[in-house]
Formats: sequence, structure tokens, C-alpha cells
Amino acid sequence: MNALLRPRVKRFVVLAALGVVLGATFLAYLRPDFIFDVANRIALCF
Amino acid sequence: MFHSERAPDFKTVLLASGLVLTLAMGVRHGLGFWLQPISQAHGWTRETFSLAIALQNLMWGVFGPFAGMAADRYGTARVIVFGALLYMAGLLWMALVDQPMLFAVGSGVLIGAALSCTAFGAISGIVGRSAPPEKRSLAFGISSAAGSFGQFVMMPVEQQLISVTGWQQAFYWLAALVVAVMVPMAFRLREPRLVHSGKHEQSIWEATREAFAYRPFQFLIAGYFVCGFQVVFIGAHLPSYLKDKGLMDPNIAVAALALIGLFNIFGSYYAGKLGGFLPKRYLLSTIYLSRTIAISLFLLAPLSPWSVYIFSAAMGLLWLSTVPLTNGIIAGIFGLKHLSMLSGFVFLSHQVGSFLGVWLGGYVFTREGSYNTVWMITIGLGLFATVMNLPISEKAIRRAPLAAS
Repeated sequence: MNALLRPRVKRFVVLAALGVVLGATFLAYLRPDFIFDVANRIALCF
Repeated sequence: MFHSERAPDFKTVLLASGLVLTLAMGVRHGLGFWLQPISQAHGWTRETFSLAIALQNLMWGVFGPFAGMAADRYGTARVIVFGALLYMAGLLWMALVDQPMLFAVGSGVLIGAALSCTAFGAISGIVGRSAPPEKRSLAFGISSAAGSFGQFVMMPVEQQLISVTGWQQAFYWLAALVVAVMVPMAFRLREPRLVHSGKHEQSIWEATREAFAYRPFQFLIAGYFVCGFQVVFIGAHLPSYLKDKGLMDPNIAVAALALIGLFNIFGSYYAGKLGGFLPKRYLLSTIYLSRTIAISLFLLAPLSPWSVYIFSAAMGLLWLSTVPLTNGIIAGIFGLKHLSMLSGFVFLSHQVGSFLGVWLGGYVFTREGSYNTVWMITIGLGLFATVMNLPISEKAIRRAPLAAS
């Protein structure tokens, strides 16, 4: 518990969580249904 | 109700304002996903929805100085609550109104005004006030990164929300989310009531007049215009440029948007961090020069998926990195009393640039069948902004003693 409260550990946990969120979001952009929706939007707009 | 005994501490301000910015910037960024379902449901052409989004961007700029004035005078908390309610009203309006003009004007005005109350301009004042001077630039960087994070994360969230719940329900969910998050966060940003010292204090009018007569402020306005022009032209027209040049695979365009969004988070953060110990004017100038070089190389190099990815990552790093530096310079020159309002004025120029960037891209392409002229304008403007930011003096303005003091 004490180890978790150490600033360096806390910083590492926050950065790791942020990395996971950013990585998962990036992968969500590459899902076929997302690409299909964006492509539709692009085709409709221009 | 909107005032507290003590000012919120620095970490609370960063966290609460960061969440508000994440949602404010994020929800708006994904609105394009409603273009197709709304247009189909009501039998509209794409112009109605496009007009609503264009109006939203303009109104965001137009209301910016007023929202900033209100934040400086009545407190950021009150302005965010008002903005959250406007945001909710705008999203419900988009869900329920089926008359094209009413839809475009109503959602444009409501969400545009909501953004002016909940995004960078209105928030910058409290972030600047709560941060120790040596951490102010970093604080602006973290705020900008929160907005960039929202843009990146909310796009897939909104797309999924529409897929799962349907376009109308998705608006209801988002409206509820905006109020449920922003209102409690606004209460975390309550500050003590302003106490007048008895001395003559600079009025809104005096602050506005002083800023507009001051050369560095004019340079900042000119630079921010270029920022808006470049960013929105590229964001809106890059996919169709790629299509036009034969890169038909939508995977490439979507990966480009994702890379811009991802690298934007790091660019915003590190620009603010660097602004803490390097001259902000030189950093701004470097950003505009780097954009010019990146665009030129992108146009000169043979077009391939990898050239698109490298260009997108580079532009992402330079995307909103101008925001913390510009706000930092304004705070350094004019102080914090009217920071939100002055940021709002500079942001108005950004939005005019954005409007022209997206419009000119479409107009020139229709007339000439290519984007070449607008790319050239974008490069020329980049060089112009590089030069404009160099002579900016970041020193605090020296005010003549006031007669009434």
C-alpha cells in the first residue's frame, strides 16, 4: 500500500494507464466499422 | 453559491478544468459522425449540417471575448455551468429539431456559445491564476493536452454511441454526460468573491483598448489567424486531397487523423513545458516554420502511405501546441485580470482563420480542380507567422500611472 503511494510509483501507474487508454483508442480508430463511418463522412462531405 | 472561501489549489484546477476541456473539445470534434444519419433521417442535403458546423465554429470565436469577460468578472465556475447548460440545449436541439434553418442556426449558436464558455478562452484565466508563475506555461500545456486528449478519445466513443444507441439517443447520452461531468467540475473551480482594493482598477474597455493598441498583441492575433487557417484546412481537406491524388484507401486517411490526434496531445503538453524555460515567441516562430517545412516536404516528396503518416505525426505535434504559448505570452504581458477576455479576442482571429481555411479549400478546389493554390497560401501564411512572432516582446506591459489612483 505504502509503495503505491510513492510519487515515482504513482507516476508510473498514471503514465501506464494513460498509455493503455491512448493505445486502445488508437486501435479503435483502425476498426473496420470506424473506418467505414469516417470514409462515409469524407465521401459525403467532399 | 458560485463563490468559495478559498481559491482552489493548483492540482484541483488542472484536474477539473482538464475534464471540462476534454469533454468540451471532444464532443464537438465527433459531431461530424451525425452528418450522414441526420441528413438521411430528415431528407436534407449535406449543406444544412455543414452550415450548422461552420456557424458553430464562427460563433465559438464571436462569443469567446464575451465568455472571457464573464469568466474574469463573475468567475469561471458560473460561466462553465452556463456553458454546460448551453451545450446540453444545443445537443438536444440537434436531436429534436427537423427544420433545416432552425437546426443550423440554433445548434450553431447554442453549441458555439457553449464552447466559448467551456473551452480554452474561458478556462485560461483560472488556470493562469492558480498556477505559480514558474509553472504557468506548463499548466497551459496540460490544459491544451487535455483538450487534445478529448478530441482524440471522443471520436471513437461517439461513433460507437451512434452505432449502439442510434443517432438521436446518442445526443441524449452526450447531453447528460456533459452536464453530469461539467457542473460538478465547475463547482470545484469556485473562487473567493472579488474584493475591490479601492484603487482604480483597469476596466474591460481600458484593457481591450490597451491590448489592441499594443504591437505584440496584434502580432499574436495575426499568428493565431494563420494557426486556425492551416489546422482546419488540413484537418478538413487532407482526406479529400489524398483521395484526389489516388490514395483511395480510407484506412490511410483515418490513420492520418488518428496520428494527428495522438501526437497533438504530446505536442500541446511539451510546448507548454518548453515555454516554461525558453522564450515563447521563438517557440511559436519555430512551430510555424516547422509547419511550413513539413507541408513543403509533404508536397514535394512522392505521395505514399508512409509520407502521409510521417506528415500527420509531424503536424499532430505542431497542431495545438500554439495554444499554451499564446496564452502564456498574453498572461505575461497583460497579467491575469483580463486573461480570459484577451485570450477570447485572440481566439476570435483563430476562428476567422479556421473558417477561411475550410471555405477557401472548398472554393478553390471547385474552381481549379486542385488544392495547389491553397497549399501555396498555407505555406506563405506559415512563413508570415514565423516572422510575425519573432519581434514579440514578452515583458509585462509598462502602464502609465492612472490619474484616479
